[in-house]
Amino acid sequence: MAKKQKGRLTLVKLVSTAATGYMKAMYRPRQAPPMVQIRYDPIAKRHVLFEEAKKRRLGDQKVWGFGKPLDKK
Amino acid sequence: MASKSTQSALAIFKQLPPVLARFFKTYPPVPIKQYASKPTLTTAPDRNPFLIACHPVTKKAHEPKISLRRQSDLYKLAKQFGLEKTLPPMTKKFGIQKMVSKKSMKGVVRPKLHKHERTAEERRAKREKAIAEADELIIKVKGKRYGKKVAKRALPPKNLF
Repeated sequence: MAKKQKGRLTLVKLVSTAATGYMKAMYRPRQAPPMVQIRYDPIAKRHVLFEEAKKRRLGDQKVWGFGKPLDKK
Repeated sequence: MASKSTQSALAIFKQLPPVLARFFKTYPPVPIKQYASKPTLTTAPDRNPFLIACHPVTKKAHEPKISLRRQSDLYKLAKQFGLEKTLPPMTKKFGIQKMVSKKSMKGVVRPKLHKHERTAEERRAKREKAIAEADELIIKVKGKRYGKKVAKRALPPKNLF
């Protein structure tokens, strides 16, 4: 039987860096880079940085080079 | 002829229950005979029937002549007649002495607590440190622009007039 294909989106958990244990869950494209947000933490009673709790397998990252091409040094 | 005190002592002795009387017949009360308070040789003249004793030849420990259970019975019986101090010294304790000499349980002296209680202080310190350094972390990730915002926020509000 063929393997079930993974969905386009994945559930990620954003955890407060204030070590309060407060977290939020949201859907993100599976291949998207790790998310970092500034959100309100009701336990810390202020805006803090939220980071993804778990490491994800990311897709190939596109390098947006607006400067010199990378091959020409 | 026996003295007056000896006669009164004999009168008390006759009133004693047979168990206690038999014991005192074999092991005379303390003022009459002294007993060792520590284990001795089995052949020692002051051998305590309530304690273990070492055999001089085999070097093996002999059990007390009277078991702990029977020691208890004798003590309680002797106490009824106020004769508990005339018994040979014993390791067993009774009443308040027993309560005092009891070793407290480890869990009572230093309770284990729940994990959240044990780690509370550590987590609080970690949280406070993280909150204090929150701005620095945001600036590091989001850039200097956020730093300017923070500095502006720290200034007193401007009056319009």
